Amino acid sequence: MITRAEPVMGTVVSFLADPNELAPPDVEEAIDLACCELHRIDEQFSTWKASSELSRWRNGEILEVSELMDEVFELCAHACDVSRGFFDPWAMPGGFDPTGLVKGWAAERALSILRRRGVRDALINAGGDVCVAPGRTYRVGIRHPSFADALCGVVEVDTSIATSGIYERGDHLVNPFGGPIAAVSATVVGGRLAIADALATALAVGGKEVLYLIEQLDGVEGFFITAAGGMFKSSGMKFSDLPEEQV
Amino acid sequence: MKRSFALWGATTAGFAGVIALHGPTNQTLSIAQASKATTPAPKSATTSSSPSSASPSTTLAASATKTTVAPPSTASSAKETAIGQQENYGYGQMSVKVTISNNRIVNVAVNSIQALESYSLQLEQQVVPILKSEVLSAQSANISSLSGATYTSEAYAYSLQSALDQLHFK
Amino acid sequence: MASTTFDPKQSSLGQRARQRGPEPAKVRAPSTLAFTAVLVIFGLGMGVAIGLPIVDGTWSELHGQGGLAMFIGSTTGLAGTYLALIMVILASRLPALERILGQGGVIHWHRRLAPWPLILISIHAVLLTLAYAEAAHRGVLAEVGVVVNTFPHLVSATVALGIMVGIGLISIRQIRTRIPRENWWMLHLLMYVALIISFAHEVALGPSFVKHPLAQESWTVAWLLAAALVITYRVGIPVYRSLRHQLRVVEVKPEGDGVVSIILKGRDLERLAIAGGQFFEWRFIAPGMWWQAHPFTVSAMPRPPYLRITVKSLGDFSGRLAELKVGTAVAIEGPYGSFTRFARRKDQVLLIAGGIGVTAARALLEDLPLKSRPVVVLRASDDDDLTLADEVEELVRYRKGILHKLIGSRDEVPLNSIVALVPDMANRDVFICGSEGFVEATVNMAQLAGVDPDAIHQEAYSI
Repeated sequence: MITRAEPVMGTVVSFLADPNELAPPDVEEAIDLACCELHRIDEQFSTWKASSELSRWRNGEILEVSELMDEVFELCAHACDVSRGFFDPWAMPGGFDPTGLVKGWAAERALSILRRRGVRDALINAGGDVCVAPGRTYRVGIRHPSFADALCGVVEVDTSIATSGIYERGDHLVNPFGGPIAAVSATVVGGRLAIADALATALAVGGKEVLYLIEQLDGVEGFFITAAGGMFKSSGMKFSDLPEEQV
Repeated sequence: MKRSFALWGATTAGFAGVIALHGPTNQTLSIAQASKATTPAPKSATTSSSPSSASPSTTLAASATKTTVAPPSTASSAKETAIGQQENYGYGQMSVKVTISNNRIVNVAVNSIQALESYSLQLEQQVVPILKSEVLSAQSANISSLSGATYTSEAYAYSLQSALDQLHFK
Repeated sequence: MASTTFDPKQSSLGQRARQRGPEPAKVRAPSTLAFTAVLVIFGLGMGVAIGLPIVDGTWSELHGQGGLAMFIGSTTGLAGTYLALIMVILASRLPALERILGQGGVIHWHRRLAPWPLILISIHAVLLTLAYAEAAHRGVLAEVGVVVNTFPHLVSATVALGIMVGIGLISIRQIRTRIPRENWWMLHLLMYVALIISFAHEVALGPSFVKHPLAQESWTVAWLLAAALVITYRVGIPVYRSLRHQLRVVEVKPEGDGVVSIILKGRDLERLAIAGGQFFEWRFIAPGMWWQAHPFTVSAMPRPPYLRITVKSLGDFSGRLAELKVGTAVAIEGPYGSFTRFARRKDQVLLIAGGIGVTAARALLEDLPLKSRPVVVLRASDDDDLTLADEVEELVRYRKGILHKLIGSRDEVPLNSIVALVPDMANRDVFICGSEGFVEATVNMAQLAGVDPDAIHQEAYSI
């Protein structure tokens, strides 16, 4: 297995690739290209960089945007729709902020670069949002909201999984309707990572109402954990059986 | 004159006929099923209340107002109210509120289109508390990756994910 | 001025008696029973449409937020669309209805009913949108978008509503009179499109239909039946009759003062049962005329193989009738009209004809039995306007009746002079035909003279 940890977008993106019949240097090269793409997206979409296209658009410096930015707009609108407004990049305090979706979207694009280079089995973890190349199932643990070194569950993932929460410093969730945040941690499994990313944010904010929406989506499951320690999950949400006894 | 009589007479007959013949079938079904539901609604308010954080109970209150029908808070000793989750109404779920007083069913009210409310309550009945005993050790779980809230690049160094990455690297 | 083909004189009765050939088709008397049965069915359906939401669970909508709006929205949708169903059946000119009410009566009721389905269905759309918006805490305009995109078939239902409202608007008298009749009629045809495309949302979303297969099936059958009635009576039977009888113009005969008789020849005319006073919608297959159908009364009982209509050339269309070429084919729809001998309730009749209205009176007269002793009043501005007067004279004479000719302007000859001429008017069925204004005024006069409204029968021509 070939791994890589690339600091980008204010977090670290982890690669996990099985070379299979490919030569490891080819896989490394593919990962290099994927990392280039991640940096490129960072340059374009970082809200921290004043020179990014996003920042300039937010400031009103530019009025026309690139195709890629357009694609992100579309995805944000779609995610806002699907989540009935609980994920609303336009309702962020500083203005339009697609960060809750761009990370997953960037990871998707990086994964497709790997696949185009022939890497059949790969997993990309962009700061906690995971997408995997189809054809193989990976066991992904979910960080326990209260204990940084422990898990609260394990999920078998063959598409994507995203988690949103308020327990990491710097992760600030906003409820577009102005109410409280429903969960300390919310996870969405299935579908495109970009959308799962947005839905996880929405689920953390909206709780049961968003879970209800997720319930109606085919192929997407989710769960969230409240501050009191209760876990609410959608009817198709399945946790993996553990091989051994827990601590 | 005779024409009006025929028309309006038939309208009345049709109206009376359909009321008499159709009968309140919905309600009989739901009473039978409602008796299976045992959790009275007020209990749900206590599940997530905890001494420290004010947010969970307000969360519930907030989501309750979002679902637009407040759960019955008047649980006086004489009355019990059971909420059951019922049949699919074709495009949404229907829930039935049965009011029982002195062991007699006093009222059966059907909430429809309030699918979210009944779903909410269904969730309440399934809530799984995450206790310390459910904390899993990462090593024994044999996982390939970790999903969590986004960590900063600095925090990564201390995170489980970095440990995993190093594990694989080996 | 005898015609070479069609001899309108009474003696043709003898002519027919001498004919060897099949018996002419008898016109069956309109059935009051069938008419009442249809009314009863309409009423039962209406009762069910109102009562069904109360028993089938729609009533439970009241309990939710926005519930009252939702319940009323659902019930108005059902009731309004049921009324639309009735309107379609009226438009089909179902014989059970048309033979009693006449085409004029059927259309009159169709028009009277028209605002109701429109109003109810509009209320239905507005209230349900408001109710959903309230339940979802969304603004109404935003909710429109969500509802239309979320629920199946609502895009077509919304388009259908737009079409219905549009047709309602152009049917308001002030607007309708400004649009050429054919254009208005073409636009009105879109109502069928609206009804068809909105059907899917009714069965997919209507609370009385979802999970209620019996109600769903009954509703579907009812609409299929209505469609079958329209296709049969507005298309199928007219096409069949036109093809069967193959009517063609054989003579165009001027009757004087802008009036012209058109003689048509056809096959199997003995099998075409027409009661005196009835009319057809005539579609002449000639350039510029084939796309319009106009009603003209058959101005004499048929003398197979010949049929006659007598028309006053007034508008663009009727002006061209005088130039019709011999051999022009005609398509027919009908016969329609309840201005017939079957409308009688009493033993004796009074016929009052104004101007070109004489055509209906003349045909009806020929259909009356010989012993009937009718009183006939012909009203015209001057002598030349008395078309077909000679035929009427002969027919009245054969029936031992009395003919009054009232010639002069309206000031010279007031309508109520008829009262003096016919002192026993209240004991007679009064048949009135002529222009709309003439008919209205004469009907008033008859009612004032004590004639029972059920005994007054009218045929008004829009001239």
